Amino acid sequence: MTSRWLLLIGALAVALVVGVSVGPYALSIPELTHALWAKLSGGQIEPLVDTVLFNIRVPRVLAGALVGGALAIAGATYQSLFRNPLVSPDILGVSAGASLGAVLAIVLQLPVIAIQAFAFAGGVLAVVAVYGLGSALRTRDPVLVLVLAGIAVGALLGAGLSLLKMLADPYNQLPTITYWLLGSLAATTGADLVWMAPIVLAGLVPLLLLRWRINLMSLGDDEARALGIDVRRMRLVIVGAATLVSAATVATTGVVGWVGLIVPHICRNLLGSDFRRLGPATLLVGATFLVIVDTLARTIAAIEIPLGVLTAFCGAPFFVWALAAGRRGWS
Amino acid sequence: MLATQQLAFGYGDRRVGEDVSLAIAPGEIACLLGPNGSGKTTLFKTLLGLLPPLGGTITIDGADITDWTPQARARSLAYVPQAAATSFAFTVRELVLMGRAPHLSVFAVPSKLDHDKAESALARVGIIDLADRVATELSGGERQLVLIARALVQECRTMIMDEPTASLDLGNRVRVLSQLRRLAGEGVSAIIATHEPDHALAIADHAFLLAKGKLVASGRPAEVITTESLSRLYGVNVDVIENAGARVTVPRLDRAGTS
Repeated sequence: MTSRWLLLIGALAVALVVGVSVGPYALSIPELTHALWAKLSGGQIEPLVDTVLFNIRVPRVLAGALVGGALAIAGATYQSLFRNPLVSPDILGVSAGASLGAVLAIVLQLPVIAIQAFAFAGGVLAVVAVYGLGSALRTRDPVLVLVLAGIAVGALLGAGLSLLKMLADPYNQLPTITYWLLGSLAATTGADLVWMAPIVLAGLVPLLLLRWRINLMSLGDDEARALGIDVRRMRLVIVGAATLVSAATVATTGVVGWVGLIVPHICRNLLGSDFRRLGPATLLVGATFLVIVDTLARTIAAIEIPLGVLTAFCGAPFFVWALAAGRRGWS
Repeated sequence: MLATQQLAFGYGDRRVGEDVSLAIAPGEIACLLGPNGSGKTTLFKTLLGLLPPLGGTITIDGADITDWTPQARARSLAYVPQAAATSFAFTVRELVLMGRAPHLSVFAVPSKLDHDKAESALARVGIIDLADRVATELSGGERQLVLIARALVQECRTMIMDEPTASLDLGNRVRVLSQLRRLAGEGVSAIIATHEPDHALAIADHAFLLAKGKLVASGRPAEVITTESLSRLYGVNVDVIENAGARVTVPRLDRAGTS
């Protein structure tokens, strides 16, 4: 078991190193270590290397790792909570809400920081609306109602999004909107990382602390409650934490699909369904996956390929293969 | 001693049953018989605290448990559902370990001691060999034993079992029933909803007959489960006969099918 963890950590480390070294201005390993050493000890760094490495690549690669890990653990959490291995982190409308918020800010010609703030607020508000609706409609299956409320609110927000696209300026705003909706780490700066990381961590900590209890939630409400869990409070805390995590990441990168679906699936195959292992494993594998995909996104073609496009290109075939190859991990 | 006094139960304003008074002493097995829709499952959900009682009280050793937290309740009462497959492929060990939840604080993960307790519960029901198997790949009978082991790990005093032998083959039924009888000997009581009067006759100390949400008979199985009571309860003709010292039910299939 320990060797598997070392493998996962090693894979992430390799992905990070490759991520910061490749690109239009390639850096060799000695150059990297030299620059890193100089940065830490306060020595001289070549200005170009300093800019490329510390202003562009390191923030971007770290943001990729954070976003990938966050989306993957949020997906795994929701899959346990909704007892369905095909659930993704945006089932409660976080992506739809964030998209509407971001597009609204773009149409209003607000600055980048406002686009991010609107996206974050939109994502959180969408989930609050879905959760409120789900709690207000009292039925015997609160989980199903939550999913259905997510579909309804998502459809409404999608309609609003289409309307805004119609109203947007087709020459200046529409390309920005399209680009945002496809997801990208290209514009990610150190400043983004500084505001995103604390919010993501605030959501990750409860998820990791509750890692064993999340297992119990996957038994369903009646069994979990009969095992002594206060299911309503537990669900609220878990949804709240997962929403913080995914809203913060969507707000900085736009909509990046598939990570939250396929990474938990890979991890279940590797390590089983116990969230004590699954949670930390999805963080590591999700981070590795997105760093690799983002590195490909900016190197395989002359233009940068949107992340959302590439995760789907890599993710969908892989997912079909995984379905065909074996179904260990879920029934 | 788990007991109810004039318990009324149901969903919100829809009352399913009322005036149910029953008691299960430590080490006793009680069977609850009743046709589909008579309110067995609703009664169990109320005992487990999944539904609030609509009237009357539920007590454990005389203390009213209505306001107990789910955690406190789970230390006394364990739910053993029908052995349906779980959505995710937990191993038997992981599944049994979940029974420790009511004994752990909210952020805690199971310790070495908890793992040991899970192990000994598996040994107690005789399925230690299955510990590292994936629960979704087990047979129905094995899964049922896993759920019983989970209830033991919970260190409960009474297991509340909803048709534990439904959809099991004969061998597995006998295995589950004899486990229950053995555990009762060790002081773990059980209240079992069942559609098999023969099971009540075979292992129960007490039988309750439930019709339309009301207890119509309660007492020793041999006294309560009779040709007359069963025929009335289910609306068909059933004979209870004695064979080699044991009572068994035999359906009488007359031309009309019903009485």
